[in-house]
Amino acid sequence: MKIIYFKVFFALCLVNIAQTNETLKQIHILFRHGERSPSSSYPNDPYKDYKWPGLGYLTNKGKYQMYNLGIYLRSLYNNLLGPYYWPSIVNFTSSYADRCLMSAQLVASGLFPPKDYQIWNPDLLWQPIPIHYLPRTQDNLIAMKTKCPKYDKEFVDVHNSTKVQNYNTEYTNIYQYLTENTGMTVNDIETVESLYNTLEIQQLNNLTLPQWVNSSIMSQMKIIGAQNLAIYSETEYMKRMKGGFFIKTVTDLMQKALNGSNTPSINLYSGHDLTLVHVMRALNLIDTIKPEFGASLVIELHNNSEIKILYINKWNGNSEEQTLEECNNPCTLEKFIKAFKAVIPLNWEEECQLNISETLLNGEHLCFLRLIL
Amino acid sequence: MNLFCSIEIAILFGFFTFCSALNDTLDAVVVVFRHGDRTPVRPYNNDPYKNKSYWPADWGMLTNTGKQQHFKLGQYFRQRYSNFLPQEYSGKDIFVRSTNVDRTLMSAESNLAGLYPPVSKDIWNNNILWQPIPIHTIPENMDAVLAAKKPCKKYDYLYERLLKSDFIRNINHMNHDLYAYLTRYSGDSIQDLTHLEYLYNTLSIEALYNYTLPDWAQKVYPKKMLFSVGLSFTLATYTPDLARFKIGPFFNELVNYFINRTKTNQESEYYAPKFLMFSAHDTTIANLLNAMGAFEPHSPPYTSTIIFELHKSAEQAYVNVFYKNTTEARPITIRACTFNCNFDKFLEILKPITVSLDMWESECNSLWLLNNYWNVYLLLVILFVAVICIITLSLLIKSRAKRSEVNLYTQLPNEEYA
Repeated sequence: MKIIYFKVFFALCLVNIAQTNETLKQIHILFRHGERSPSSSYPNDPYKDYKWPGLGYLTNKGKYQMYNLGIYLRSLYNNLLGPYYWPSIVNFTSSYADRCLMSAQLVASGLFPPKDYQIWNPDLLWQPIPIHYLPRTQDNLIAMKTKCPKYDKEFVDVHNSTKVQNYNTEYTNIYQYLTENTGMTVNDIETVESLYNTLEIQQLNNLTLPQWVNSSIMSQMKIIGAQNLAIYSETEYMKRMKGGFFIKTVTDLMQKALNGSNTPSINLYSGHDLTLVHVMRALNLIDTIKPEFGASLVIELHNNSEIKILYINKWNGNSEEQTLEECNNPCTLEKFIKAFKAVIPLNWEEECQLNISETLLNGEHLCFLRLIL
Repeated sequence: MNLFCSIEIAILFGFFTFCSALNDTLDAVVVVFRHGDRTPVRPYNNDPYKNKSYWPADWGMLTNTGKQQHFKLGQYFRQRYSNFLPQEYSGKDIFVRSTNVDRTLMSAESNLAGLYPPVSKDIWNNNILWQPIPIHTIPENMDAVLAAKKPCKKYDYLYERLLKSDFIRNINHMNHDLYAYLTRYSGDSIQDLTHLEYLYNTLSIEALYNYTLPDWAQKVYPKKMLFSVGLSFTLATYTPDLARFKIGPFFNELVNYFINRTKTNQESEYYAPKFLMFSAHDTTIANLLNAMGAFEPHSPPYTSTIIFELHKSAEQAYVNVFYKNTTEARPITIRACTFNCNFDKFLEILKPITVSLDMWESECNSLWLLNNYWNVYLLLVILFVAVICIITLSLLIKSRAKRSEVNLYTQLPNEEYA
């Protein structure tokens, strides 16, 4: 009897999975690159001269992770993906960074191993899949590094805000501890984050860390690191200019799909931890988080215009459905756009501009105007 | 005579192979290639094969054959540069750039799969002997270097003038009947060389895939179209001016890279890898060759490659340029500079068709002042100065006029009196 119940339950689960998959219209998957080598070191680092493949470079472990993330994503979306790679329905966009470009290629190879007529080399079950990206200075979608003067000004304000000042008072002891042990001045949360990144990678590569690095300091540093990532989207305006642009891009494509226009149904974005934090904070999904390697956010659009959001917390994690407080039961695209109106920019470039008086007081223009006057 | 010729050629080739075997002087390599086999970019209106089911991939996409071709070309590079390019991949050795088009991005990936099969510690998965290698690209409308599609008003103006020149008018006149014939049967409007080339391209792919061409097409393809097709590839760089705007930024990149490589590590301006790879189109190949005066009008085939090799010995630096459109890379002569072209001479030859990006940008838009802050300021200053000039001038004239009025009033009568 038990077995029968179990079987029925199992069958229902399967049906459920199949159903959700069949109603899928479009997906957007944003993932963090795989494990990388450290991009910085500290004076007392015992592994200063350790032979990494390069600074901030995707490691072999990172390659393996991203390939497997691709395989996992295929298991989730097998129906939507279909058996063959078809360029017109798949779009890969990446950050400019080499580790992201490489991660994208690897996810692609896990997602679309060639089958049947697509096998071009029987000895190599891989096929080339194009990865697009924008120059770093023009990319406000993934790297989010396009110049935005008003944002920059607001960021400076946040840095001088009581909240950040309070962090500094709160962490005085930690700063001191780290300064003593690392041999470099640690006096802000940004330095703590970058130090944490280096130590975490060394730990992941089974390098024995110095005595002073205990699990308690590591977990404290991780929290501080997450707080540092969060201050880049501290205010609503900042969310609007960073994660908001990503959300706008996604909802625009979803609208197109529902209107019956030709848009890729599978959209992948290869980015950084900060990209994920920006988007998830704009959606009010999290307050602070330090995404792991290969962590992924999936935004699904279903035929009935329903939106579902899943988070995979690391390359080998499980997908977990996320509930949006602002939009649920069901969350349709229309409701979604309304709910997040405040963080969806209407005209990104315009909204980045300082108003006239601020512009005139800004750097080079001021000099020149003085010269004229 | 023939025998003598072939012996001579054999000796020459032997010499060249010998030279390229002497890799110890080789200092930098730049390759530019066309993508591999693809499906037609778009079928013509009356195309019997315009149904997608005739083709293994979407329109304009790289096919399996194309992937294999580039994989082989990558293996060719691996063999040719086995002593030069380490087997293990490092971003410090090679930089890859592609136009932002699926088939060129995919060609570059396939090529790299052949050039860098993972060995020893590059192997990350024993079941897939492939490794990811970053390929850099930039949207076409921003790309003045490789895609050469960044808008340039000056170029468009010059090109327009070429199309209206007597020479092109005569060609079109001569082709009048052919255009009419092709338009009538293909259902596409064929009024110029460029559109004739597009049609030729589609027909040639269909022929390549062993599809029987319609009777009307067989009467003109390929023979009657060949001359026009070859000519069409020269148009974009027909005059030195056109060439400079079209491909000048690329030569600028090439020249700066080579100059940087000829310097010692301390002197060089930036770290430059030893191998640059550019993945592009038939037009890129034709433009480069034609700009260097080494183009024999033809349609550059799939995977056709231009290779620039910089050699550096104790005494001098020199450049060898090859064109590989078959299995062999043939050395080409650039404006009378033959094999082992002295580097300074090479620079001298390229100078008239080289232009920095800044120069290019300003020259392209020289007629259109109002497109950035600085120009607005400049205009404001000019206006300001102009207004001041006008005011002072008018004041001056006024006072002069007054004075002369007075003078007139007083002097004339005096003269009359005199």
